[in-house]
Amino acid sequence: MPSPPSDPGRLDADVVRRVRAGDTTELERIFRAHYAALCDFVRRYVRSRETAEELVQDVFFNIWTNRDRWEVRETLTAYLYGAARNRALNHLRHERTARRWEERAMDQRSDPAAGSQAPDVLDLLESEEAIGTLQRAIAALPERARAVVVLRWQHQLRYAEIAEAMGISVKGVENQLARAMKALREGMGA
Amino acid sequence: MSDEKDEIDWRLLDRYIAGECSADESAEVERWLVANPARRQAVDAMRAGLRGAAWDTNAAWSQLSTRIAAHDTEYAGLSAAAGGAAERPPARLAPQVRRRWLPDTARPALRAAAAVLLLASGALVWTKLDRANFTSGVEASREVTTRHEQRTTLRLSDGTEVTLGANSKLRFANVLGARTRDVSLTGEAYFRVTHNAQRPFLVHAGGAITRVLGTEFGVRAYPGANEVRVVVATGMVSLRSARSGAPDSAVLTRGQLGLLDSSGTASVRSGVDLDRYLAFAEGRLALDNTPLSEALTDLGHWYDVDFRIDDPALADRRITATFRGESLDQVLDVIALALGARYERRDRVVTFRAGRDAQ
Repeated sequence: MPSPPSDPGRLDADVVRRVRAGDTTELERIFRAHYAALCDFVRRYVRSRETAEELVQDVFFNIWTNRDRWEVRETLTAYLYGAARNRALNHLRHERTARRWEERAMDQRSDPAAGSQAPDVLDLLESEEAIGTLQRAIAALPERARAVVVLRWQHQLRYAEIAEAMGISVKGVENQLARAMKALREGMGA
Repeated sequence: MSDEKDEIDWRLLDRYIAGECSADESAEVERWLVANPARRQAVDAMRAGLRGAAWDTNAAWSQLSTRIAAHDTEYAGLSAAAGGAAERPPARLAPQVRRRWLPDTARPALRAAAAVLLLASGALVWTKLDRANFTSGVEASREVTTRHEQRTTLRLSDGTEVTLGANSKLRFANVLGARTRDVSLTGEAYFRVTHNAQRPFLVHAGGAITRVLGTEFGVRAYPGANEVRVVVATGMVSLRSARSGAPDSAVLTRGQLGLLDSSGTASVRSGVDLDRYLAFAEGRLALDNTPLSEALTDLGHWYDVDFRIDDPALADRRITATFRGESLDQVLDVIALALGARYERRDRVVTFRAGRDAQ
């Protein structure tokens, strides 16, 4: 079974209380503890590393600027992944319009540096065939199942935390995992 | 438990991949894996393929803390300007010093002379260095403030040039962020943004965010105004509310004027007279068939006086004129003459009245 801290709820409540009181040191501490993992998570949704970083920073910026209303129900971890996922999905919804005007703006200026940087979607894919197959299998999952798989196996959240982050029941998490497991094993011929 | 069994409880496999198995459970999974090389390969791939990439947390914190400091300063400034106490204490409150640069009793002629000097030199603009209140990844940020009858032009680390209008304040990191270039503005400024498609330039002002990649445009967000105004001289900018996650409210191109009100709703006008809205960057005020009420709003931002109009009909009268470095009294005389109105000046309050007997 998972081995969480003795009482994560109480510790997280302290963190929230300190941030709400305006303690930037506490904000910095949780930022440093979770930033890289959250970027990895969001990176699966968006085209560029920069966008992933921007979205994750927005999560913390939003916590800070709305700190007097900040509440954490399950654990801090669950809150952060849930907020990051919401931002990523929101971003995807608005991406099409944003991209349209950015491209028009780039057309207006003939900056040789613009556009020279290719999207780096592939940079986190290992060359090994099996891993490539797995990544494709994960990418082929519906978003909800993919998020559950990644939160569980890469970020090692507990079922209750995943349920909180995703806004679904623990039973729903189990169902998604079971289905994803089956699909992945079939996809890799195991 | 048979080594040859085909199926394995998915919950057990899940805990194995998540690293939560007991020794006994691990042994069971291992037996299942050994029975078929494809299984081993698949599970190894799951673990390896889910490794994370490298991220620069130090740089990210540095950028975020700068952005937070800019936000908190802007928030404090807006609260103070609205005359109310802040709802919550910002992490750091920049001291709000508002000095009138000459006493009220200064003779008009002296005021005019001094104003011309200021315009010519631009040297009396005061800047203030301060440090964000964060424990590490500290990046010095800078605040440049103009008073009434002043404007100044400064160059940011990315080469962007900003002309700050009167009674305005710009806050920015000495080294702008690596992913976005953020500045916060109170008042009015004209931006000539160095093009960089990978690093959008964001102007945070009065509850609005203006986002550009490289272009020239003016932003006006004086405290107390109901809306933020953006006018685009070249290129394209997007305008949205600063509320978290808000979508773009408007995309503006050359010759367009966008207004974003406090509810986040934008309105756009095309084909506006750019000189009317952007001449301030050159130290001019260009009135083109402009209602008196609007003209006086502009003059109130430049000169340190409050205007009143005691005749509603007068407020809608239109005026066309260009001013550059004139004294307040000269400007008032021109307007009064053009409109056939008269004005009274008492300390910092100027009142316009209808009537032929202009001063």
